Amino acid sequence: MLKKYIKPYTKRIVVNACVKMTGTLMEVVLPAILAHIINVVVPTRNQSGIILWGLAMVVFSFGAWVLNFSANRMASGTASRAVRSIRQDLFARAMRLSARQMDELTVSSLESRLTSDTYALHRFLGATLRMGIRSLMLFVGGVFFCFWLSWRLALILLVLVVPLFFAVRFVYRRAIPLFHTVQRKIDDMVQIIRENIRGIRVIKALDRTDYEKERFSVANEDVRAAEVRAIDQIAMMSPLVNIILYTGLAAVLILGARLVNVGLLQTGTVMAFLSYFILITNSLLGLNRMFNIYNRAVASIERIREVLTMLPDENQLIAEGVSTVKEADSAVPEIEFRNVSFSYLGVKDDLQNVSFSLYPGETLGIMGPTGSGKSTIIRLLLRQYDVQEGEILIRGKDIRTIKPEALSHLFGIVFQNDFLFGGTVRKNIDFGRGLSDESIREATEYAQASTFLKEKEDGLDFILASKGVNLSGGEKQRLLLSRALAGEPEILILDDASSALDFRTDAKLRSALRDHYTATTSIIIAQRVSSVRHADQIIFMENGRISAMGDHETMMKESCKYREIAEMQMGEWREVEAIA
Amino acid sequence: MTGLTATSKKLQNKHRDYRKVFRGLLQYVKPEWPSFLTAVTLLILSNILALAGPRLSGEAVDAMGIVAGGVEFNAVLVKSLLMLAAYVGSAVLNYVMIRLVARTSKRVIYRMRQDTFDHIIDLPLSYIDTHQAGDLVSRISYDLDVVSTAISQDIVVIAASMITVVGSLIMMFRMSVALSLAFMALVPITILFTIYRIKKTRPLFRKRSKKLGEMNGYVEEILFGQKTIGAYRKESYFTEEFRSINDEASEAHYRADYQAALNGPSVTLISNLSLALVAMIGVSLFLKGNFTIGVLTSFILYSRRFSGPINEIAAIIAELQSALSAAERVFTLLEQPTEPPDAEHAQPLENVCGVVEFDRVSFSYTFDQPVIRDFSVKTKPGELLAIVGSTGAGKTTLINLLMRFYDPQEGEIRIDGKRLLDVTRDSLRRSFAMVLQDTWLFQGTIRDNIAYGKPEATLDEISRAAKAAHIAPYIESLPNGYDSMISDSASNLSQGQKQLMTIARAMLLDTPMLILDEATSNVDSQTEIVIQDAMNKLVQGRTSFVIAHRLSTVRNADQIVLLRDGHIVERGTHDELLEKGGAYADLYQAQFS
Repeated sequence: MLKKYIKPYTKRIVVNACVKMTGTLMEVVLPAILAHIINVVVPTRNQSGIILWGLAMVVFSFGAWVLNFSANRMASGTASRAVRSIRQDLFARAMRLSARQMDELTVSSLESRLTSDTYALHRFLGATLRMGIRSLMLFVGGVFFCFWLSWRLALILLVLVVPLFFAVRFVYRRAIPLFHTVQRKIDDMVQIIRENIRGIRVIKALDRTDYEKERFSVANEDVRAAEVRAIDQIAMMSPLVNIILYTGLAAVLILGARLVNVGLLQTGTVMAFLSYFILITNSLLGLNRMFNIYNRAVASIERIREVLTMLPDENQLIAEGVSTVKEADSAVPEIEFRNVSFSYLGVKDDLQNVSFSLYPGETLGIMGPTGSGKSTIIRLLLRQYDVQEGEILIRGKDIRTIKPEALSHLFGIVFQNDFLFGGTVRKNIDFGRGLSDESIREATEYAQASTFLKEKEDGLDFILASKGVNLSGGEKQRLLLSRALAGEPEILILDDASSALDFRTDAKLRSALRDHYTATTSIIIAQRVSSVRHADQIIFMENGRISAMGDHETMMKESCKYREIAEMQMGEWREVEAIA
Repeated sequence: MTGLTATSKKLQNKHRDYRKVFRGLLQYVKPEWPSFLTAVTLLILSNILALAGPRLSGEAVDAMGIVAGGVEFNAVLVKSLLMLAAYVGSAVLNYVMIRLVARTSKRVIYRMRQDTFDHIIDLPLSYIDTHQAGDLVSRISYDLDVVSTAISQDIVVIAASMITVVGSLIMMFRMSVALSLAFMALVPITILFTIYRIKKTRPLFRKRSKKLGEMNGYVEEILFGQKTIGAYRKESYFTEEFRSINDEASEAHYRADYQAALNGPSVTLISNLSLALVAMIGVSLFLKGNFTIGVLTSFILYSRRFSGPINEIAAIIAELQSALSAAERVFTLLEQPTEPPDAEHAQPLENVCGVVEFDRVSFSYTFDQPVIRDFSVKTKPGELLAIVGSTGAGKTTLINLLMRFYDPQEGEIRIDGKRLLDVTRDSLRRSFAMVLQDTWLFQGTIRDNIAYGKPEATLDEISRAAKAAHIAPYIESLPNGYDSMISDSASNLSQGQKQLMTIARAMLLDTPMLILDEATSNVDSQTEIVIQDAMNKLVQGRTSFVIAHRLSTVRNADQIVLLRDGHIVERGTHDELLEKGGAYADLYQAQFS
């Protein structure tokens, strides 16, 4: 997966690696020069030679500096661009996931794939290009120079590298699960804080504050204990590494002394060795850090790949689709369900044998308890899911044979708990459709949103906070309704779209819809009988089946459930009418 | 002139704030002083031992001489082993110190977290209502974490780095003043350069976090609406919109990285330059016989330990600044006054009959906007009072006043003739059972949730309450029955089931008074019928306050008050009000037109 995104930068990366390698080598060579000065130049007592080689060191230092930071900048650029295009593609793919795929992945998981996972990937790419190459070069170069200076002393290195590497791995292996535990304990603690803030009225009302403080202190103590355990583990790292390293240094000094004594080694070389030792240890620590970043990135890369490589869902494929739908025809049902059955998980039927037909300009009301399949009807009509049995027709055509682009402009929709985003009211209503101000204004009028918008100073330019949290529930619903109405929909779908409106506003909305959207075919899901009682047809859903169907009068006669709700909600309505 | 005073005043405030923070921190750290003192001693000892290392290795090199055959083996062996011992000793002391500091600082943070939480719980509702929950949570989860890192790591690293820098300098000067002075030339450059880099990069990093934050926000928001976007086929539109946000975030990321790319190589540069400098000058001095090869070795090793700590101190100073502002946020929260204590003469409210009287009560959350105006009403024991009116009319505020979550600015509320201010808050609140629109359940068993207000309740009592609330059949159908866990945010329960659980919770309490605030507005009609029945049982024999959206639920009330803009516009029974044909009748009709 990564290859595809890295490929365009192959040349850049190769150049980058070469620059970095050269830069690092310049650094690695410095202690060797110093050794040369002491071993070769000093015995000749050549003052200018010392200055010359010293200046060479200065030049190399600056060379290493320039090359290294240029390489780092290139690396940042490459990582940034590669991740940007991955993120862009990931977002585009996420936008086009089918409802079923979305349910499987969940919104919060997709969100973390787009954010923290791409950050981990970014960190990994950047670190590989910067630290990875450098650590490798420091290690290889350091070992090379050590062998070049004295293969006998360098053997000590070989003996040390292995325990050093394993010591580091050992500590990390034991510490990392402990840090995961810390994170989990913190999550538990935060959960308690959240619960308490949300339930503060109940907690105070029931005089349970002392209990909650006690409950928090248990979680608090858990966090503390977990943190101390994790720190105890990780604290072993530095002493272990230091002890191994300095044992090696002592060995270099002792063995070096023997070699110097028999003339196999010069003292300047021992000095250089001490420097290389530190260099190599640092490179090992760097490589280990890389290893951890990589470990973390692997999981992220896998999670990103999973989404990017997800195939379009079956219901998103149109075999031989027609690209236009016919004009509405009063003789042909606008919407028809024929014996539709459907199940989300294949376990129980969420819809069973549902049939109805709705002619142009008619209104269908749907009622029924939660989980009875009301919203499922809409999801099937919009092809968020495909029917498993039966068929759904729009203007006589099975919707599975119509290209989705041809359908979308027919609909105006408000889903249950639909979404508003940060930005102006206008942008939220327009929704990328490029509608005129006039039609937006008109829609707000009919959706009863204009009254509260007038009170806002900026009107249509009033800026909503994220998710519209600066509006009340009723105001949000009225904006959503405006969005649905603004595109002059031929089919209007309202799923529980007016539950937060007070009765007076709801009534005004209904009459506006009746007056101005006569040609529009509507499906209205509601909890209030008053929202559907004027519909041409009402269906009452129970356990995925239509248990009763007809207009209000018929329903009152034939469905006892419907009657029960109607009587509860409007029991004395007639009485009121009589008085009024 | 005025501008100047304003600035200096601001500065003064800033100083005072820091003083406040330091005083606050000190108060938590003080009890732990023996531990901290031990830690500091260990730290100094450990670093002194580490500082001896290069000196000893230099002496070992000296013992080798620079001519073959001239090695003093015993001296090399002794010095090398001493060096090893010094480093091992330093490592062990350091290890002990880290463990000690971890224990001490986590104890400190434990107390700070507990105090912060306790304080949040004791805050008046006016504070919690006006602050975002996420904000309060981040006081404990984020701010205190930053403070914790500061006391457990940053301060240790700074102290260690300073000891290293100062110690190295002392050792270097003792070996060769001339060479040290030459080397010192690099120090101010290092410091100035580091400061300059920090100034240059910090705003870029700040901008980067901001841009990434914006992108996170956008992603979260838009993904939530993915299905709606799909229904309108506007995927491309939002993908394009994301492109510019993504580009900006990536660009900001790159800009910061671009500048930061200089930092690592620069540290190395200074370290390498010092090596070159020491090589040139040191070797020349060596040639003149001013000092030995061993001194040169030690010198090089000391000088290489220099630039790292300076850079580290610089990085950590930035972190300490954010730790200070984090601590300041915590202490500011801790300074907020809690609910005022009960009056000294306050008596517990006992044997309540349930005569509740609002006497000319006025109240506003902020001073300019009255929410309740001159509100008076009186109930008889066991009566049901319904409060109706549109959103924002002040219905829930009345409940807030009744429970003393807030206190009125004018007028008073009395229960059985006793002023609310004269009874203890605990006893007052215990006299009420509440069912609110926002159902509150917590992670735990169903049993714990229902018995929340009466933890000593037996399973029998709990199941009777559940039965009365019509939720028992559901609970008993679960494999673990009353011991079933309610998961995070209770997403495995329907809204109706959640509501019935809270009704069961209220049923279990044997209180003389009851509050129902929009208890059915989130529930479908079928469930509402069930809940209505449960609630009818609940109100029996209790003085009850019912707030309702749907007027059908208030028909049986003994008294109905219609609230508009904080005052009563109509009152009476359902029939009286309908007959009157006023605002209430209007509202009632609108419901069914």
